[in-house]
Amino acid sequence: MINDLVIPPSLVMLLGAFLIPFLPKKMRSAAFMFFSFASLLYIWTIPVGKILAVQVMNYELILCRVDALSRIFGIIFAFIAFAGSLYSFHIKETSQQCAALIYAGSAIGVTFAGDFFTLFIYWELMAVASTVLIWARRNKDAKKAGFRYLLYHVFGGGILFMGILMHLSESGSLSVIPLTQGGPLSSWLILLGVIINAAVPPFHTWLSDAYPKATITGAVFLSAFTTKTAVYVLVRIFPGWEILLVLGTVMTLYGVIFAVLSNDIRGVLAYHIISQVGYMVAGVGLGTEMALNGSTAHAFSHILYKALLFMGAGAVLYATGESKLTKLGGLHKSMRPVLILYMIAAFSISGFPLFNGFISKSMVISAAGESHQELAMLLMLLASVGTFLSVGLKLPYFTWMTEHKGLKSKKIPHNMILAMGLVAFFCCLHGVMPSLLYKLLPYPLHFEPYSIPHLVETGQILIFTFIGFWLLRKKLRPHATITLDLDWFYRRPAGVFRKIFVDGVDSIFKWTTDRMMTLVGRVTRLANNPVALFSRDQTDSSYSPDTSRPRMQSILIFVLLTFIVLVLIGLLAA
Amino acid sequence: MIQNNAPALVPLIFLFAGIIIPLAALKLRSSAYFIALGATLASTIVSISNVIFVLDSGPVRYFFGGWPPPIGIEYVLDPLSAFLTAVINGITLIVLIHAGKIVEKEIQEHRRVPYYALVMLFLCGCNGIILTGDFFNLYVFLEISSLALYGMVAVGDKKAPISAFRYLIMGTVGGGFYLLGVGFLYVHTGSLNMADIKEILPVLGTNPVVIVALSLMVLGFGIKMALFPLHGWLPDAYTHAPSASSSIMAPIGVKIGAYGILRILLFVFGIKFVTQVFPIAQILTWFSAAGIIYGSIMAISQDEMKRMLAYSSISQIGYIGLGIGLANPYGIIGAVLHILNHGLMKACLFLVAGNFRMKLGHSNIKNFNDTLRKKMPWTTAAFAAGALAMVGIPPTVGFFSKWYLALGTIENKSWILLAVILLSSLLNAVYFFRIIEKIYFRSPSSKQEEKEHQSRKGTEVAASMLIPTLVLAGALFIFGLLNTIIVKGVLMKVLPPGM
Amino acid sequence: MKKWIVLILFLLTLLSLYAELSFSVDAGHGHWWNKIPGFFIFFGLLGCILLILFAKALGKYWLIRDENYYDDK
Repeated sequence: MINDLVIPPSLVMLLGAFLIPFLPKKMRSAAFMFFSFASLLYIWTIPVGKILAVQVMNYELILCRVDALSRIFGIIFAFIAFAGSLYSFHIKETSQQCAALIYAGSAIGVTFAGDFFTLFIYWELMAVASTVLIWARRNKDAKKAGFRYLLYHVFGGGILFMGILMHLSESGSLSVIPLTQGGPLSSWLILLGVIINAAVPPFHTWLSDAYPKATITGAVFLSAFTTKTAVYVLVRIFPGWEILLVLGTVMTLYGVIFAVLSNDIRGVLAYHIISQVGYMVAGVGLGTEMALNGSTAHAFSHILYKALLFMGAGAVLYATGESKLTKLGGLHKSMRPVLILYMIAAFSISGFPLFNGFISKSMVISAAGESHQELAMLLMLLASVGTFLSVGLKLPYFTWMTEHKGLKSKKIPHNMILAMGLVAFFCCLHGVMPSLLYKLLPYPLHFEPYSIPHLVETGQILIFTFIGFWLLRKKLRPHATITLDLDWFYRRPAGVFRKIFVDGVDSIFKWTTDRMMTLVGRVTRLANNPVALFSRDQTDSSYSPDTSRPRMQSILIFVLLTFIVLVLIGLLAA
Repeated sequence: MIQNNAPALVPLIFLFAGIIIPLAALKLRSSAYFIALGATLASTIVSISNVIFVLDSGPVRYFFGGWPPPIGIEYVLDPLSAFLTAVINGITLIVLIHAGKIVEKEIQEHRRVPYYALVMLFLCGCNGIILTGDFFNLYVFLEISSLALYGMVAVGDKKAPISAFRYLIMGTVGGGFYLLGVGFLYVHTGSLNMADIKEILPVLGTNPVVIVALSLMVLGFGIKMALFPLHGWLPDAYTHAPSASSSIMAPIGVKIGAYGILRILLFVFGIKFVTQVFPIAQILTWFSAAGIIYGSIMAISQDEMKRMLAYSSISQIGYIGLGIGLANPYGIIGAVLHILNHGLMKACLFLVAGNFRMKLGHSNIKNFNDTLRKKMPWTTAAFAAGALAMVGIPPTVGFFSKWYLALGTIENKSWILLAVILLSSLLNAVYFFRIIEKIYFRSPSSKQEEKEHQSRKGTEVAASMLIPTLVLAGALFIFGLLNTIIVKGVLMKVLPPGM
Repeated sequence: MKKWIVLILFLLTLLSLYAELSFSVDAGHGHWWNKIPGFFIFFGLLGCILLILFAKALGKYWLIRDENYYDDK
């Protein structure tokens, strides 16, 4: 264990989050950009193999471990934080800036953590910080969605924590190591906790519920970090777990189908996160070096183009105040730069040659082919069809083409366009020179994306998806509806839960008190003691301390009963 | 020489202060507060130096009047008692600095001097309980602290006298049970001294008398500790007491009960007895677990912030009971650490409630909205820190005590208890974030907005109230980061011999 | 659709078919569908149409609700 003083990279951003409230107001946006950029530089220059380990109690905590896998994730996380900070330069709300820095810093913390304890601490920080970005929108929907999001993540964190503790008691060590497939319950609990954050159905509704309701700039950060951190953990700990191949393939299609039905531009993009992460999860499930490289490369590319897509949708929302497709249309004259930059990202996500989606998605699909998982390959290609259909065709068509609904559009701040341009630049750059991305990948690579079969396959799919869309474009006309998803199970019965947990509890308390008093009355009458008669309480519909204050007699009866219990057990046991 | 007398010094400082205050106030009324503050400061300094001394040189025993036990009464400073006295005196010091202004607002003029005298007596009682090595002497100080506390509660709002009266009944019942237990133990062993009884018990063997005595003593302390289902006095007492009293009793009062159970179960009767012969430790964990869940659920339905914090305290004391009942090193360390951590957290939160009452006149959750954040930014930030700590988000203190307790449950393979700890964190998140969401994100309705603009009320509180609040909020993070030092340096030594 | 777009797409399709037929496929990529020329033409077209129809059916018969469905809670 090398123990020279390595500063964990996450601390740069966390320090920034701490300092920003103390800086003068004018400096804060610039400071936000500065700290993200400093993180990026630091991570870029940190040599592979550095470790920072400390001894706490009997455990060794590895606060920072740099290897190729963590470095590539760290680089893209820091970069997108920087792009996001440029995009949100015009936002003067300190709470959003600090929350975003904590969120990004914690994601980097998870990436470089070498032990489960550190990982878990950063994991929980991410959940709290990202909730702030949702609540910051300040409308009723965002408030409720943020609550659901927070509870969901605390729940997932609790499961992860249980898994970690069980793993610790079984193996005695906290270090982050790959777990063998089909292991003990602790591995499954950790897996469950991680896939909740990866938004694997059926645990994905927090994403589709909350992301469309977040702030314009917050959504850019949200899209990049939570799910990809989970993907990183999957790549590191669960390579080759077959269930992930199945889950990932199902995810790609699940996300795409719901995206086709969605009426909100950011809702479409949110479901697409689920779809694209499906490719990454499936790659982890395949477990071969090419597949894991593919998942990593796809995570890298996805962060870039998804952020750009959310930036574009956010720009539309900023300019018009609308995000429903039913209300948008005809913006191609007034929002031309946004349209162009958006389409660059749309081409990337659809896997157009010369953009970065092509060079990464094809790696995962080919890896599936190499492992002879032909059904998976075909399903993933089908999902590509759907991806292009919804993000590359339906969304831009109904937002920028079709007839104008008379919306006024505000001018977009320059920093938003600059940020979009910056990200778009890298989407194109990696598409044209894939080796720049490939040389960051963790495992050695023999993959040539620009081969004739790939180009033919992609070209034919894209052309004929386009034709299919054009023929059926009337059927895709949006309506002002929502699509039910698995969150129905905890949203519809919310009123019921409230009744059970609040009103129900004190009525149970009252009922118990009544029963016990009747019993004691009978017993004491039998023993001939003069005790006052007890009367019955009235039940109320909501808790009010004055009407449900337990009487002194009932409290003392509890004392007496406890004593009897203790003595009985003691005398019987001894 | 001071060191040899050190165990007796701390409670005696408070006792003398309690006596001097009414006398000095005949001359100058406002001196009461400052004498109280000075006495607490002196005790804190002595307690902290005691901790350092005991960790270096080992336990100190002081015989009152020079008479050796088992006939005489002795006071013992061992790592546990030294640590706990330092904790309670330190927290009281910070709370008392805050109390100056809020006492002026909430308690009538003619009651203030007796009030401070009662506070001194309460602390004398608490320190005495922790330091004494004699069971009957413990009863004496238990009654001193309880009676003082009843008085401190009774000077609150309209419902305070009846709350104090209910508390009095339950507390006296508890004290009575405890005394009965001591009596049984005395009849059986012939001694009242803790160390002595510890030697005698294994020799005499198990006996129904011993079992009943132990049950009575645990019951007595359980009432003081508000262990579920013996908690009935707590919600009203915390809510209707004046803010200063709540801030003093919440971090400290119930911990005395926990200390009593810890001392009796683990140091006097011994782990083997309480886990194998008479499994009272197990029973304690069940009651504690029930209390944890009960407290959390009831807290969710409360509208008034102090009442919510009261039910939350029932839940938190359940953690301490759980740790003691687990009877393994992690559990005990977790429990004692939680005494410190919860003391800090609850003190901070009750100070925040006091600040709200100072400026808004109420602490009713239904009426919170984000003008509160704008007008009282530091107080609401302190509240947020307290909430994060209560939920158990690292690196605040709350996380570390839950971590040790969780490790303790794993060591005993009690998965249900582990699930209870995690479930309660989730429930804590619900009721705290409800308030956070209101004060950070909820805009007031327009009617309220008009009222607030017109009222000019609600700017940030004065420095003497603000600084203690912020010190505690900061301590939540600092003690979290320092927890390794505390655990390694102090708590490892606190464990009963043989662990 | 504009005439020149149709023309370009047609030319690209022809180009892809030519490339497919004239360059041989290496062993690693020899799946059953590579043997069918123009497979992905049908895959793209049918896949797109089927996805749209399936999604619309799923929505219409089961999952679509009015915008304010959750709001009375």
